[in-house]
Amino acid sequence: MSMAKDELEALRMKQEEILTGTTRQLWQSIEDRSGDWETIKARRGKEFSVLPIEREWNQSDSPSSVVVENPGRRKFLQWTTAASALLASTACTRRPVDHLVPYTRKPEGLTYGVPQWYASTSASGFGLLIKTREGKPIKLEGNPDHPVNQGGLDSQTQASLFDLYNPDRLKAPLNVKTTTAITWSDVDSEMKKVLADAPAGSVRVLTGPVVSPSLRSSLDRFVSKSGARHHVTENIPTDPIAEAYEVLSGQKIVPTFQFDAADVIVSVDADFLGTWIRPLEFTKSFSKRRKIHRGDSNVNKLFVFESVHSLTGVAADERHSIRPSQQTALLMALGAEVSARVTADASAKSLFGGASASQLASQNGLDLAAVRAAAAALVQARGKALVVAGGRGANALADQILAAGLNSILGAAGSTLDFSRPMILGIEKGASYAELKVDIEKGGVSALIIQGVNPVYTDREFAGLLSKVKAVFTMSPELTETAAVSSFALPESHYLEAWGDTEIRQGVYSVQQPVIEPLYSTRSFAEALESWSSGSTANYRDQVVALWKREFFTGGDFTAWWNDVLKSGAVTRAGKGSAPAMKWAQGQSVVSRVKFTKPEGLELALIPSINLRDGSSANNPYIQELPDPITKITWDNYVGVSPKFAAKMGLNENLIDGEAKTKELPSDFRSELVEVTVNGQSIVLPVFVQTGLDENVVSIQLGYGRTSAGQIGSGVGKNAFVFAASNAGQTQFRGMSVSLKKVSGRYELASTQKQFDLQGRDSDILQQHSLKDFLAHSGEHKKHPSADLYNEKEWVYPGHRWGMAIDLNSCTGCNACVVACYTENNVSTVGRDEVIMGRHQAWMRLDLYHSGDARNPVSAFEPMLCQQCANAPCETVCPVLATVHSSDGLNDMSYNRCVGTRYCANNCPYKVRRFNWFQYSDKLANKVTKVDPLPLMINPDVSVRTRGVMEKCTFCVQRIRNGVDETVQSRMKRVPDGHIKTACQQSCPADAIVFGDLNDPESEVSKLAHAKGGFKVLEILNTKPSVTYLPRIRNRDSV
Amino acid sequence: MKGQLVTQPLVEGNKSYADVNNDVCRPLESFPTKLWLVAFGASATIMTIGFGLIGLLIFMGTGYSGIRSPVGWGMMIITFVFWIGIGHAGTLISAILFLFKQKWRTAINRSAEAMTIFAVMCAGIFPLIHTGRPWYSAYWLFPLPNTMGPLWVNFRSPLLWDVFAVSTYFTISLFFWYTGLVPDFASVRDRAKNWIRKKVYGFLSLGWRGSSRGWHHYEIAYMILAGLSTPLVLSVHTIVSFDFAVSIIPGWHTTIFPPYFVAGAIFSGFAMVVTLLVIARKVFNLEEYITVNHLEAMNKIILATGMIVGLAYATEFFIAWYSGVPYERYIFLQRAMGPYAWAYWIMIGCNVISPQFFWFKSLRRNIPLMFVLSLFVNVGMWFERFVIVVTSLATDYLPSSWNYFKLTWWDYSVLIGSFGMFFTLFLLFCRFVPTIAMAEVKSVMPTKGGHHG
Repeated sequence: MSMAKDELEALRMKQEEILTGTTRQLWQSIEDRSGDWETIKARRGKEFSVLPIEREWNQSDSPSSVVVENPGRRKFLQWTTAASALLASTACTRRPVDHLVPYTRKPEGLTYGVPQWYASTSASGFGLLIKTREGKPIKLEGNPDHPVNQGGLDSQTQASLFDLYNPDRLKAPLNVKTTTAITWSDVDSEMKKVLADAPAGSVRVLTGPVVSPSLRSSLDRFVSKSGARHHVTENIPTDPIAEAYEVLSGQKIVPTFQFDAADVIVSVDADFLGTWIRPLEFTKSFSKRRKIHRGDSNVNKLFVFESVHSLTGVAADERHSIRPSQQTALLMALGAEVSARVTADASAKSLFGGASASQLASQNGLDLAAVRAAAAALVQARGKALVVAGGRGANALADQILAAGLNSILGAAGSTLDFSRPMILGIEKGASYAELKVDIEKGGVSALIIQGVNPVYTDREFAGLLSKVKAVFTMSPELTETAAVSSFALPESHYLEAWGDTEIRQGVYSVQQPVIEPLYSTRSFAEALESWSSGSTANYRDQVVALWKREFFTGGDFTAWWNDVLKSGAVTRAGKGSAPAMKWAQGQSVVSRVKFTKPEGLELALIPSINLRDGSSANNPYIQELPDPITKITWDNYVGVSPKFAAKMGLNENLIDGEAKTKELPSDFRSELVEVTVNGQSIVLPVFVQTGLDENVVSIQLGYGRTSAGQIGSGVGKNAFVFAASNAGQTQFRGMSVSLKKVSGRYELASTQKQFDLQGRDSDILQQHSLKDFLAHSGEHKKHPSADLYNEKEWVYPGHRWGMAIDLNSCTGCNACVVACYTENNVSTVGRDEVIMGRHQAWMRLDLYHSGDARNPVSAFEPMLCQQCANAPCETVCPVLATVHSSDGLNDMSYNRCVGTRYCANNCPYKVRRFNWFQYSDKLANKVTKVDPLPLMINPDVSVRTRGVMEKCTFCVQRIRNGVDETVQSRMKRVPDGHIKTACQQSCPADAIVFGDLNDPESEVSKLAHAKGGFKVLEILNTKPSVTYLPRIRNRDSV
Repeated sequence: MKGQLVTQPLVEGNKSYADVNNDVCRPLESFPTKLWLVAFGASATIMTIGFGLIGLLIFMGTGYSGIRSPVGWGMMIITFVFWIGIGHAGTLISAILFLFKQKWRTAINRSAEAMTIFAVMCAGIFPLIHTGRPWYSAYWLFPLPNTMGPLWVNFRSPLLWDVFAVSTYFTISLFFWYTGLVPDFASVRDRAKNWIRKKVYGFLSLGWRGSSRGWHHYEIAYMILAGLSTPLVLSVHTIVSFDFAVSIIPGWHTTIFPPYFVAGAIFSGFAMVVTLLVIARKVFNLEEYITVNHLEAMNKIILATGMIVGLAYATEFFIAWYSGVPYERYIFLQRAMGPYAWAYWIMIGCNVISPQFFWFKSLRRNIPLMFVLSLFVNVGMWFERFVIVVTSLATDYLPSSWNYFKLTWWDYSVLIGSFGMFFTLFLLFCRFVPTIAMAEVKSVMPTKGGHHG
């Protein structure tokens, strides 16, 4: 374009402007319109005035190069092509392959959004129903058809779902020495070499309890092929009951304890509801005799003599604190009293021949009256009485012999002790751990395979011994302390990933089927053994099926039978055992070795943590954050001391008010630190002043202090296994002489309940009656007069009205409901620091209250959850209507609408509302970011709550809606009673929780809502809760 | 001056009208003093840190504050109520005293109203940031039409009443203050020597010319606003007290709260006015306008309201005992003797005991003493809200849930930050706005001619 033309154009514009008085009507750009001639001229004919890339280039790299201000079309296209080519080249890397299979070809029987249930068995042998959604297991429930747990499930198994998704699992075999990941075929060839090179008899297998018939057969096959020797042990050894019966009868047998058949039970340090052998099984059978509120007034009576307050102690009708060193004398005195009262001839009386209860009592400081009362009750209930002993004191074997003797005199065999179907603990077969240690010490072990136990953690000598073994293969889910010092760490499949079976009671066979492909390169122990003994890596299912066909199948169509087994989860075959003939004289020789001396000094009681047990699930945040039922402490172990002792030592002055814990709330919860020394070993731990302890007893929980558990479990608490003593070949956990020294510093324990005193509010909050009073009264429940100021018409719930009844007399405080709630409702764990801040998220909690003497308190649990009040104080105060009442009686919480004023939580008298102070749902314990596969664990039916919103129990609204939908689909008018079960109710091994429709007069819950003695918590406030509590009834004359 | 509360001349030092303008406008027209710069720098820094920490809270989570189950409200609600209470003196002085024709108010009403507005601004921040999701609560608490179906706010919730009460209060107070400022802005405009000042104050004075027609409208408007503000003095804190009184928590659920809160609010508001004016009259040489007589009158009100508050404390205890409700009794025993007894006795010491000095005229007129006592009262009133909010929640019905509440570093910093904000605004006010209502003061000045307004 020539200059002349430009100028002509400009002139034309000017002329136009002058003529019309305006700028041009048709314009191509802002500048054009305003007549900015300079700009228009500069732009003329330049399609792309500046190429940005060229500018950049010029500025950064070569200041001398010429800026192409006017690149033109050709240049522009060149650059565009080059840029496109460059962009395309970045796409050359291969995208990661995803195994997302769309449901276009739907697997048979699977509907997206509808859960699938599988019957299986937990590692500990309990029957499970596994809920899977789109192939991911998301919830475990007790299998009601399983003869042992009968629908209940314990907190450990509930939480074990997490272990599948645990981010710290070993993901492939590991050569520990070189810290390189290897393959299973490397392991197999390594093993082949080791087995070939090992001198005869120098290969050993150390396992935990083996309760699986198929694993047993694989193990036997491996042992016989390789010439290895099998040793068996437990992280926390069970009380030597089997050994006692072996002494007495030659048979290593543990009879099944039939607590449901017992009218009177005496427990001496056997916490059978908390930690002793199989608490889930015992809770189920024990609580069957606590159903006074369901019309069964034939309730049992439980006497507990214990050195540390336990769940069994809380459940007791009569509880007495003892010192661990008094266990044997107590059993002896009890035996003497019982023998004196039982007229029938009983050969076991010889055990207590020369003993005099009064002499033993005065010598050992026993409460003679308590012993006599227990003995009298036992004798009165002869044939329906049971004595259990535990606690692994100094004379653990003698204690069990004495208990066996007492049971024999009381005629327990065949009624409260079932010898026909003894318990299978999995430790009956196999050489002992002690022998293994001796052999390693002697240098006779060249290869060791360890599975199911963690001896480096539980035995302070074992790590040193391992250096004498050339090749150590440790199989474990994560890199445990033992695995970390082995030659090879082998990842073990979770029980949800592998085939197997169990037999925990003789004749009760339970099948374990996988519900998910192994997430990592793992094998079950049985699979590993099979591949080492036969080189076969075939599906282990074939082995299990073959074994079941051979051993348990009784004829007919095997496929149909096997499918039935898979559906129901378990089969029962006739018991093969019988009560063995006892030679009491042999017991006498053990008992006579016991020296009864006056107990002196401070004694230590090591107790398995009710939550962590042996510490193998220490990396499980659900377990770590679960409050200890008795002390309500999470994320730590501590030294439990009595108030009297604490006062004497000048510890925690603000926690003590003479006898009991303070009447008011202390302002400083930091505990003092003490150095605990036993036999030259010391650890420093914080002190916790607790009830139910003799002043000469201090307690420490086992299971803590793992050093190699994972990101969550490592370094939580201190390892108290170092204090375990060995006495006459038995591990001793209680009665060791201990000294405490105050050290400087304080430490705050994270507890979820700080006040255990009801402040005289019993009638409003937790009603307790003695059986005598309860039976004597007509049952007319004193109702508070209606406090309504205006006669508002009561809302009538048109359809269903959901309600709950909680039987405080059945509840043992086992925590199963709490964990069930966590996993069902995606409740977050918040970690130690946040628990200290009072920010734990549990929707359901177990309040514990003590009354009376701090040494022998009367204690009771009260499960507390949203009461779904008809007159809910939370609903009226929410400014944005985020919490509203549903037409079927629920107090709905809409997370999306919540802005987090926390007014509802303030106004809730039950304090069941939980606030998301941080983005808890993104992390485990507010610490470890949730990475794959952890999000798979989330229950897709329940919203994951975001930071800043309130949450609370919903009565498992997702289950209610699902249940109602199912009813509608099957064209029923009402939901049948019992069709909908809340997660807590389903899990409760004591059947203490009943849920249902209060509008249905025939439903169990509506009957219980009007049962004698039923009360609402804080009824005085007129909140009209939907939860009815049935009082705790103590089988004694006065509360 | 028959019937006047104060019989002394309201302005001392034989001032002329020109002197008033010169004295009041001096801080606006001179270069800021070193003292002002230092004070402003410090306040603004503290405010900025406070806002930074609020940002942290909003981005990371409410957990930085010490609130925990079962104490769902903590420093933020305590401080909210505290600042709202402070605000009351301004409205009381400007509206109620105006309607009662208490002419002594003219010297102090401007700064008292400014204080009200700044206090309400400080207060307004807290309810917003104390919510878990401020980005929603900023507008979900208003009954705005929306597309989410029949989703509405809950008119039964006292928190919603709060939103209306506080926003109304702020709006009316702001208009009232601004209306009073119009003639004075015009004076500043007329004195202005450079064109920016002229423009800015000219804009602010809304074209005020001082015509008698203008004055006529002005006075009617002022009277109407005073009438509108008067019920707000009582309503705002009444409604704030409903946040507590409407709940079912022991120690909260009481009918005494509305009058008790209003009295406490006036009590703390006057104490804050005294604190600020003792400083301001000194720093800006306004001793002849804000005389000791003014301060004494305020001290009398502090004494009176302090005793009302004291009576309320005693009544609460009596009723707790008389009601026979164990939960109520327990809470009050806990307050006086429990783990929070320290806070309770700080409250009693500051609010009930310290005003008693004002029974004596010499002490009422003793400026250093009244300064110290006014600080005490403010501390005491913060602790009163602490005692109410925290003790009742910490130990309510179920002993299992009891917990001890502690403030965190975050709480302390943001509490101090709110003071930083308050003083920043107040210092800006002193620099840019006539701190004394010149037009009104002139009307009550003893004139040379002997007649008075």
